[in-house]
Amino acid sequence: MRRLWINIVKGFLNLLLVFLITTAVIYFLARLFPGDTITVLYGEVNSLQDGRRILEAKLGLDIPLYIQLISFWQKILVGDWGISIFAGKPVFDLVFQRYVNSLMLSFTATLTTTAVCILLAYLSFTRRCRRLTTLVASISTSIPAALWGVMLMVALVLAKVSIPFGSIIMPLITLTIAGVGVFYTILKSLIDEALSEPFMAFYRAMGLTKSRLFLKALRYALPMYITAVLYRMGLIIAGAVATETIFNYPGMGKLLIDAFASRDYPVLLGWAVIISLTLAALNITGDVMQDILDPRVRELM
Amino acid sequence: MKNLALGASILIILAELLLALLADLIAPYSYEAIDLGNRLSPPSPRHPLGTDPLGRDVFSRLIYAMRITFIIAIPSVLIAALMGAAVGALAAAAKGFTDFVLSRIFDVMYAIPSFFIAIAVLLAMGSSVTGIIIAISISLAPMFFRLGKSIARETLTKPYVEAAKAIGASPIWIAFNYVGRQLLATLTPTAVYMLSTAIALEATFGIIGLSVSPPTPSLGNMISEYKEYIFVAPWLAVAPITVIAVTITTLNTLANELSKRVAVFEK
Repeated sequence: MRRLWINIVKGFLNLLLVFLITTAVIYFLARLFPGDTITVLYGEVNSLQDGRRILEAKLGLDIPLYIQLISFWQKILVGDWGISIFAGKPVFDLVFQRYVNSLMLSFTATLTTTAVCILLAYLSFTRRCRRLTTLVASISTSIPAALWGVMLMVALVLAKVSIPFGSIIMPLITLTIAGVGVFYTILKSLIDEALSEPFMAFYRAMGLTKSRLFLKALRYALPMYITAVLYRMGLIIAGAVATETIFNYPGMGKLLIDAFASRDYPVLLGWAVIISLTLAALNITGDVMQDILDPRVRELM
Repeated sequence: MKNLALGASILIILAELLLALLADLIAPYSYEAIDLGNRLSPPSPRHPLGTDPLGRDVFSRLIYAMRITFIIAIPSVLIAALMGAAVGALAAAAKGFTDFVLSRIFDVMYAIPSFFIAIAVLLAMGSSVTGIIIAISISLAPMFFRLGKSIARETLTKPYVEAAKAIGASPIWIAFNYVGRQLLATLTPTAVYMLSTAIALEATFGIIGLSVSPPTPSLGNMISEYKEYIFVAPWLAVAPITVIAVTITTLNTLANELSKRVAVFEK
């Protein structure tokens, strides 16, 4: 048990380190954006160099870079993420609401996808329709999530059903369709691996029913499945961002596009910070989760 | 039967590459030839896939888009694979502090959202093929790093590496002859698979307007342009999506077949 805690603390420290570096990189990447803060805020005021200097001092742009960076980190932690140039509201409030919406979408989509995958794996396990499940998986992976969104729109248009823009249903269906392929392939290979283990032969000899056997194999596969899913979160979030945009769902995707279109730099910065924190957290949680969920690793501790 | 899947997928990919390469000779029209008198026309002998809202020939645009997509996808994967796998192998060999630092660098690369990199590059240097390549390769590199590290670590524990060390082989010789070859064999299927991921990413960027900007067609920006006409001409958006579906499925099949062969070779 003690090693588990050490791993969790290690994971947390790694997360902190990665988060600090990532935000620093993002902060300096944002500096590459054309037009500095003052030009964006007040237009070209080249004639008034003094006014510019006063503004720089007021916005804290005249101090050394590393101090700016430290104060940037400070502000992130306090939740003072600046004011949106166009909405006029605090960036944190703006981003946070959208973030909750996006998290809800990603979370439910992961759940529905996993449910469908387990169903497919069960069907394939009982050998009723192996070919069909493989076919479903390869069709699902043939195009990325956002394109499934477009295909879904085409299907609805052809069926003369009105598209419910703005609701969670369409992006949810889209992400599920697109996710099934990848997740199923992972789950399937893990279950196949379980089936070749000696303990499964033992359970078979015990005379367990097929569905009980399947549950045993699933129990074996789940820890590695969860880790694999967490590692792929980057691509999943990218897909979710694009899908949200297509269906006008008020999540992080739409926020990014709007902020990009209006060159709302504080919002762009806030967006990148929150997404990168999520990605780093998921990536590192993946490592720790494996330790917690896998009985073999747990017993070693 | 096994060789059929491999042969067919190689043939399809070669055909697509050839189409992309010879786009200037094959495409019946230029990708920017606007014909406003002939907008949204259905497929006909003169325009095999019809024309788009500006009267441009969809078939020709698709061929050029395929070219741009390959120009983006292939270098992205090559850069990501070289960078990720080589540094991963280095981390596995060096262990300790070097491994820690390199791993955190790739953690950071993983954590920076690819859209943000695309936007930063786009804002800083304008819409360009290079920018998209940078964004895609940065988002693919961490996976290669992870794989490269674990493969190299495993190879280094093999008895033949011990043996080579015992007879005085230099680290560089071991790196090229054992680790390098093993990486090449194991990562080739992965690279083919990542090629399809790169194409998917380009399309995803394109849909939200972060890919190459029009009139240069890429599969991604064609979809984003044509999805606006979904109520008038739904087939327009379906055309580039079909090309992507065929390409990705073929690449995935190819990667699958290749990895089966590598697995057999390892046994």
